[in-house]
Amino acid sequence: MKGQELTGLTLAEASRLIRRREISPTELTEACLARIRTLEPQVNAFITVMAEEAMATARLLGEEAARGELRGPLHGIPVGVKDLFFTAGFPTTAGSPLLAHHISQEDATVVARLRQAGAVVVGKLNLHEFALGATSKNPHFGPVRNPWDLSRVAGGSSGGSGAAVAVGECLAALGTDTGGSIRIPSSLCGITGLKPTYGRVSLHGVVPLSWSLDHVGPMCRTAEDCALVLEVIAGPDERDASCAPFPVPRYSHQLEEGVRGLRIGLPQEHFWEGVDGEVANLVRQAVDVLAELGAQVREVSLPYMDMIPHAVVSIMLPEAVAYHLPRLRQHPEAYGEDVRLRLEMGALIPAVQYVQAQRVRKAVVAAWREVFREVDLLATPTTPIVAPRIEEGDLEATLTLIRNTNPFNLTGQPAISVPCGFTNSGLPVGLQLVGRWWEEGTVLRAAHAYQQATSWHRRLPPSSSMPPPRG
Amino acid sequence: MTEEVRALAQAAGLPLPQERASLLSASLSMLWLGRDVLLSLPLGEEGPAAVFRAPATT
Repeated sequence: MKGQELTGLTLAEASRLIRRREISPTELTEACLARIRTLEPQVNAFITVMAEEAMATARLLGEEAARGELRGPLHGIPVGVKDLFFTAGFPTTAGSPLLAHHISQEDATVVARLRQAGAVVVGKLNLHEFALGATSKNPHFGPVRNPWDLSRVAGGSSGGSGAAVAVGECLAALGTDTGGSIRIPSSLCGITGLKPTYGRVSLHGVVPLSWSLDHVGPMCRTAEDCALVLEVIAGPDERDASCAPFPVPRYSHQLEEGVRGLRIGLPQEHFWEGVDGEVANLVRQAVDVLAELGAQVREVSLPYMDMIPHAVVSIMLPEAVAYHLPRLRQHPEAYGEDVRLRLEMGALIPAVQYVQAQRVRKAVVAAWREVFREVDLLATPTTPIVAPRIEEGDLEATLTLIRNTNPFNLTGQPAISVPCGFTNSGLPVGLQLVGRWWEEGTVLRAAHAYQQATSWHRRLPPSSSMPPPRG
Repeated sequence: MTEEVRALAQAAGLPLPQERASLLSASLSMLWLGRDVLLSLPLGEEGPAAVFRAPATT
C-alpha cells in the first residue's frame, strides 16, 4: 500500500496491518507527513508539525514491531493533538501569540499515555483561540478550513483535529470539549468524535478554558477507533483531582453488542428548534436506522431546558476569565476580538450568578437522572446547521453551533457525534448520541452498530482525492 | 447601561473605553437576564456540592 491508501485507513485497519507486518509505522507516518505537506496550504489544520520527532519515534516503533513487541492497537499510529495539550519540548500555543513561546517540560497526561501506547505524535493542531469559540477562525494562525468546502469553517474549537482526521493527515486526534468543541468539528468535518463523561479523562497538562466544563476526548473516523483511543487515555490520574478513580472498561470489547432493546429518547424540547430542514431529515433517518436495528425509540421531555443555556454561559465565562484576567489586563490587544469580548463579559458576571448556575447544574443532573431511568440514550442533531461560511459572523455562528451540544457539558454525560449523511450541497451532518454517566460503552456500541449499517463515515472529502479505505 | 458597564469593568481591573463598554452593554443585558432566570428557580438550601468532582458522583 502507498500514500493515500495508507492515510485513508481507519486506525483499527492500520493497526491490524501493522500487527500482520504488512505495513510499518515508518511507512504510515511518512504517508501522513506527506499528506500534511500537500494539504496544509489549503486546510491549515496544524500549528506545529513535529516531522523529525515523529519519524524518529516511528523508526523506534518499527524496530519493536519487527521484533514482535507490539504495545497495543495504537502501536505506530500517527495522531495529532490539539494545541492545548502540553507536549514536552514543543510549544503549546493554545492558538494565541501570548503562548507562542510557551514550551512545557512534560507531556499532558493523555499525551504521555498515547506515547506509551505506541502512538506517533505528528503535530499540534490549530483551534479557536484559547478554545473559546466554535468556528476555529483563528486570527493569529489563520482559519482552519473545512475539507468538504474550503470556503467554510471546520467548526471548533477543535477544528484542526476535525479537519486533519477528515483528510488523513493523522489517523486519530485529541480534542477538548467545553461546550461542544469535539462534537461540533466532528459533525462539520464528517468524522466521529466522543466527549466522555466528565472525570473519565485527565485534564492535567491541558490549557484550561473552564475547569468544571472541560472534557478531553478522541476524534477519529469511526466509533471503533474512538473506543481504542479512549481505552488508552481514560482512567484515574492523581495529578487531576477532577479525574474519577473508576476503572476503565474495555470499550472495544463491547462494540458488537448491537442496539437491540436499547431505549432511545428523542427530546421534545430545544434540540429540534431552529434546525435546518435537511439536517433534521438526515438525523431522523439515522434514528430510523437504529430502530430498524432493534432499538426502541420514544419521545422524552427534559426538565430545565430553558435554564441550561444561561447556566452554561454563567459558569464557562467566569471560569475562563479567572484564568485569563492577568493577561487580559496586561495585553487586551493580543486577544482576538470575539475572544476578548467573551472574556470581558465573563469579568462582569456577578459571583451570585456563577454560584446559582452551579446550583442549577446540580438540579439538572438530578432531574435528568430520572429521565435516564426510562431511556438508555438520547438522539439529537449534533448541530442545528451545517458548516457556516468563513465570512459569517463568529458570535452568531458560535451561539448556533453550541446549542445542542453544551447541555451535556453542564451535565457531564458522555456524547458522541457520528456522520449520518450529507446535504444536497455535499456538507456532512452529525447525529449526536448521549448516554448515562460513565456508560461510554453504550454510546460507542450504538454508534458502532449505526456505522456497521451505514457508510457515511467512509466518505472522504473532495480535497482528499483518495480511494476509499479497505473494508 | 454603558456607564454601569464601565464602572463594573473598572472595579474588575479592566478599564474600558466608552465604545468598548457600549459594545459590551448589549450582550451583558442578555447575560444579566440569565441571572434572573437562574435565580427564579427555587432550590431550597441545596448548595453546589462537589462542583469540581464528576457531576455523576454528586
